[in-house]
Amino acid sequence: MNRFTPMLAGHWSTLRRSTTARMAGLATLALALLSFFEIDDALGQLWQAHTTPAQIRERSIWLPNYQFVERLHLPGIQENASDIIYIAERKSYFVAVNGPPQLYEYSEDFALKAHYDLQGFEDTEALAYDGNGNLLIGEERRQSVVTLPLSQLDRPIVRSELGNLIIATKADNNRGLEGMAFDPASQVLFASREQRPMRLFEVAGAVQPSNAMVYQAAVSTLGVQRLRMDDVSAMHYDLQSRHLLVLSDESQLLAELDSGYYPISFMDLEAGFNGLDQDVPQAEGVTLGPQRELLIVSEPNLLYRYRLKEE
Amino acid sequence: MQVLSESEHSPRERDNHPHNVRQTAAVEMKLSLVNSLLFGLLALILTLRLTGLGLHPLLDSIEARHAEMARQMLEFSDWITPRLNPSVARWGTPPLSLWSQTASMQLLGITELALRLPAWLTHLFSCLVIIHLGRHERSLTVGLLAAVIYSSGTLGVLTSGVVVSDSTLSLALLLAYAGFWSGMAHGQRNAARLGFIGLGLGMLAKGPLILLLCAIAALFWVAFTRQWRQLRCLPWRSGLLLMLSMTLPWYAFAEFKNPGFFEHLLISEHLQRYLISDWHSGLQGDTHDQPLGTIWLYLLAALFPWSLLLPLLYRHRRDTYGNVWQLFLWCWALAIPLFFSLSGSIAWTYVLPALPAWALLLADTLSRWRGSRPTLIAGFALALPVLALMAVLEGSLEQHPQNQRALVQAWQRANVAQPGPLLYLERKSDSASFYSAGKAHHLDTTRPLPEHTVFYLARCLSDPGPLLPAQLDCAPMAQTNASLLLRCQPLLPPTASSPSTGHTHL
Repeated sequence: MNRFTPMLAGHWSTLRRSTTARMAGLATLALALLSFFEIDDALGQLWQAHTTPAQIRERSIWLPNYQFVERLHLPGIQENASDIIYIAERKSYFVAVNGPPQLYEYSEDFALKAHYDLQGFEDTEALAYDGNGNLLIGEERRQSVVTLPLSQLDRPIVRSELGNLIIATKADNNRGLEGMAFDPASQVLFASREQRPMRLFEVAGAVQPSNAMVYQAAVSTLGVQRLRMDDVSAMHYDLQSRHLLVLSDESQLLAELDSGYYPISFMDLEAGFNGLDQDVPQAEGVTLGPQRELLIVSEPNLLYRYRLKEE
Repeated sequence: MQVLSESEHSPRERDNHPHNVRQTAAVEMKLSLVNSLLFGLLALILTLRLTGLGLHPLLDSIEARHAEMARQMLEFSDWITPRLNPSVARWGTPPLSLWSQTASMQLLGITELALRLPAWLTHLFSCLVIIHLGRHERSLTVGLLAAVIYSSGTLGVLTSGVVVSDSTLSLALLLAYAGFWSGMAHGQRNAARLGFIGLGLGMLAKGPLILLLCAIAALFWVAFTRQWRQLRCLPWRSGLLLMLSMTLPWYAFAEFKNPGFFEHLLISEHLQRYLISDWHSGLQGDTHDQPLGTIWLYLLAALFPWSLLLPLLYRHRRDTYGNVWQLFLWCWALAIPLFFSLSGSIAWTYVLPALPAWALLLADTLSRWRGSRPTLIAGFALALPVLALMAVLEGSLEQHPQNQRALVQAWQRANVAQPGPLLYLERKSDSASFYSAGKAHHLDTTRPLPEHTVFYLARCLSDPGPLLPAQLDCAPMAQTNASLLLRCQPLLPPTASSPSTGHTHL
């Protein structure tokens, strides 16, 4: 250090006169300013829109087309809202709460219909629907998926009485299964591990054998290097486009991935993007509603509703 | 600062004019620094290329086609007959590059990295030969700079990391030319034998074409320099024996297993391809009818960005008048484009074997040019390798319908719950064949779609192809690679209680 300082001082006057050094300094400053004012994100969205062919955009969810409409407090929930799913058969939204483990059922206009205690559950972080009358509830630390038949909602929900699927070995911290989605047509379950390391899993043929209460399915890890996300907090599989929505709380970003897990479109969850007036504090769940509106649940009990922009 | 001034150029010249010890030491230090920088630059270019090898999928048509042939060679353990499907042999190209790809997959597994690694190693070996030639005839600086130019031009960047046979031919021809030059100019008989080994490799890489390409440049040079007698000094007997012992076994086996193969290779794949524009052999699918002389445009594109500096060769032409080495390089550099100037059925990769000569010529001139700057050299050298790696990391290559890897993976996922074959209707995808281990099938109009079983159909979003029969219920299962994966099954007859919800998309 003692040697380095005089050496740097000696070279400083040379550096100040160097055109290359000036250009490098200006470029660094410009990049810092772009990042600070989030112009890089806006430019990224523009680039994505420009480079994605029209036939792909038309067959996608295409997040730049969504406009923020309103922010609601979810009735009945004080804190720890962790995921949301819409089930067309019941015309209901279900919202999971992870502490204490509970499930809330809402009508399409978010009037509270019912709430259920989840006995024996831990860290209920993720929800999905198997398209066949079963709600899938993901537990973070246990990294397991419990199958809850919707027909059993009228009686106490006890975990030990329900079948479950273990996605991976138990997490020894709060960094386990965080997001989950299901494709009923191909019977593929998508799951994400939140961080360290961040992973996406696909479980092909995730149909639980009738004679097994617990079974370990074949899981393959997907490449997520292009997601540019710090964590994955929730997922949703869209049956219409066959695309996957991936939500990141720390990156404040929602990404749409195609069936090859290639990012198609992005939406920033920060003030100024898609008409949003304030940052989403801690995005934990995402789903699409019956009119293809986009719904995002955030801690403690917030719901953000986006609608498709009118052409 | 020029990369290397005239006075610093030759160690011999320096020895002849030793002004003082300090000046010589300073020049040697500068030379050593320049060489270290060029070596670092070459290492960086090759590392950038190596980094991207396994990060992007195989693309239709040529790369995926070669990959699928190598995979079939591995699957059927048939190292004699290249084939794209188990029943049909493909004699477009002899199998040397397929052997390297198959052996690599046997060692490293069936991955993109394993398939592309032989091309990278071939390129690396070519660079070593170029460095050796440059160093022997001029200086280490010229050799290193030539290797940098060869590695960082458009075609050099491309062929050092894709599954094609051209890089093998280029190395073979490079060895042949180097052997010929060493034998003729320096009387090095062992090096000349290495040249015959190069010819043997070329016979196994592309066929008898290599003999013609080598002979054109060699005979022009011999004619210009009137060294006909020197030809007798080449080790013809042992050299030809080496060449034939390398090539004959495979040619004999191939002819024995597939009578008529040699005639097909010689007449159809060589002569007719050269003479007939828009020639289609089924293997090299992209030789199209081009105006005569297009090869020169391909040469400029293949050398880019270094082709911008080609006027320097004209400006410095007087420096090399009467130099037999330079004359040899010019014969080598011009022989291949001149030969293909008369053919309309060409691909731009055909100029690759000429690029080492152009790189050596440019390097020699650049090392003398006073306007040469390290930043200019580094900028030219790194521009395309960095851009190539950025394109790979950005991932847009994965969005092309020419790549079907993700679609095949989506089919494999869906296939677990509801098994069915993957079909391509009136469209062939070697990429799909490779990634599905030969399980993707191509259906033309003469073969009907299955009517009683579940099957999966891949369709391109921009060109969905023909309408599907009304009795099929097809629903989208995945969308990726600008393609759609449909699951189709026979439409159930409607009943009074449950009307069918079946529908056909696209």
